[in-house]
Amino acid sequence: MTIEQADLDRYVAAVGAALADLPEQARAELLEDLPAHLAEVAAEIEAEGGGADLADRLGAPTAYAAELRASLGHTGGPSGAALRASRLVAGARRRLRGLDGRLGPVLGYERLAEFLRLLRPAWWVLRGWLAAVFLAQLGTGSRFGLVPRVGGEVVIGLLLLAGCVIASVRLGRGGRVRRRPARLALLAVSLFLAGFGFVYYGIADGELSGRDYQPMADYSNPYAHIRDVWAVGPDGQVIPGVRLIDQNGDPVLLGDCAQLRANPNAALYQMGLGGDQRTVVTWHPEDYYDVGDYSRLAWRVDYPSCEDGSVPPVGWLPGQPQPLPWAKPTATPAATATAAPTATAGAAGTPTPRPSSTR
Amino acid sequence: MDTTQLLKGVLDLAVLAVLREDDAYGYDILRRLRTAGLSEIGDASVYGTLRRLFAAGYLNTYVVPSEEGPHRKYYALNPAGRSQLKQGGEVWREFASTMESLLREPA
Repeated sequence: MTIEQADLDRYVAAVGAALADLPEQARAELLEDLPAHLAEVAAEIEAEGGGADLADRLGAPTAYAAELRASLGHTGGPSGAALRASRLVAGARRRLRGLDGRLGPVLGYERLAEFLRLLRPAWWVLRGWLAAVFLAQLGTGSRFGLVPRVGGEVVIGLLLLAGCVIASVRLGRGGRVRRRPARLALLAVSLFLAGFGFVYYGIADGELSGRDYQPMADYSNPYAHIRDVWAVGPDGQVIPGVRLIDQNGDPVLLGDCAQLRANPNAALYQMGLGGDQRTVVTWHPEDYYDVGDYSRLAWRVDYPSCEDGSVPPVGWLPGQPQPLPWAKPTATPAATATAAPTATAGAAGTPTPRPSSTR
Repeated sequence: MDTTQLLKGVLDLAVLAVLREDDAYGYDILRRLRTAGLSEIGDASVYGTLRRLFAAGYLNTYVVPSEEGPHRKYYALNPAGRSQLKQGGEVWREFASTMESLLREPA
């Protein structure tokens, strides 16, 4: 019975697997000629009326492999730690090969390695870019950017980028570097650049997503666009001494004047008012005063006067005393604050025909 | 004592020796060795030894087409192989005589 090529291949593969822990070169040397040799031997044994299949004629592949190994002087294989290590390596290699075969079809390739090999030129370019960015960073410190700049110069940076990419691609294209030290150095540099790339990617991600954009307006809040509020009487004139409070009884503090007076101790306040501490308001009173105490300070705003206490002109308001169209005689907001104001802020909406009646 | 243990050290020499007179292909070499008395020798040992001797530069090879069955790869001693055989032979003879004198029963 003749031996089929498939049987031969299977036998050779089994022998190869049993020798998986040998150094790659030694293994390749052994296996290179084995199929032809086995075919020759199988034919001879057949002519002598030998066994039916290869295993009958030559013994089990593992036994054949063991004998081969012995003939190489690798008697019994490496021992102790070296053996365990080599088994680990062989096992890992086998698992990787399995993964290679399984993941390939996911991408539509027979093996993942096939796909990865196609990506190599992309890696060369990326490596060049990383090298350029790294070199540029060396000079300028930790300025983040996608285009390398040398001393703030984009042109020099681009030249550097082009040089690095070309060098990296040429290095990659040149194939395996012959001398071992050079090869190791290239590997080390590549690994370093890959690590640098990961870090840089992390920084880039942080810079882009962490950048705190203040929204121009909070569209869910219809009052977000309000910058200043004045209490105006039906005559269209600003009512001095009016106090606006919110639902919590806290003063509504809007506008530059109020903010300027937020804290009498703040340098900004001192500069703005020239030391005038007549009015004291804080956005966050508890930062500076006892919580129970801030209302005392808050209610001393003479709003909307600014600086010199004068009332700004309100030219755009109708001059005729008329009820505002939306105004209804409702109850004034109930003050629930600890220090409820004695005079409620009822002036703004009350349809009182008399001008400035609540003064 | 198992002769396979002894063989390991001298298989190179044995293979070189059977190639001294005539070139031979793998299985032929195995047959010659067995005929010469090394009956325990296996094909894998011969194949491995041939590959190693070839890699070391002691052997030349050539392929001879066969009418029935696969081609045969013949191995031939080259000058380096011949000098290796000569040196190895001397070492062996010396070693063998040492062993002989060690093992000789006192008269």
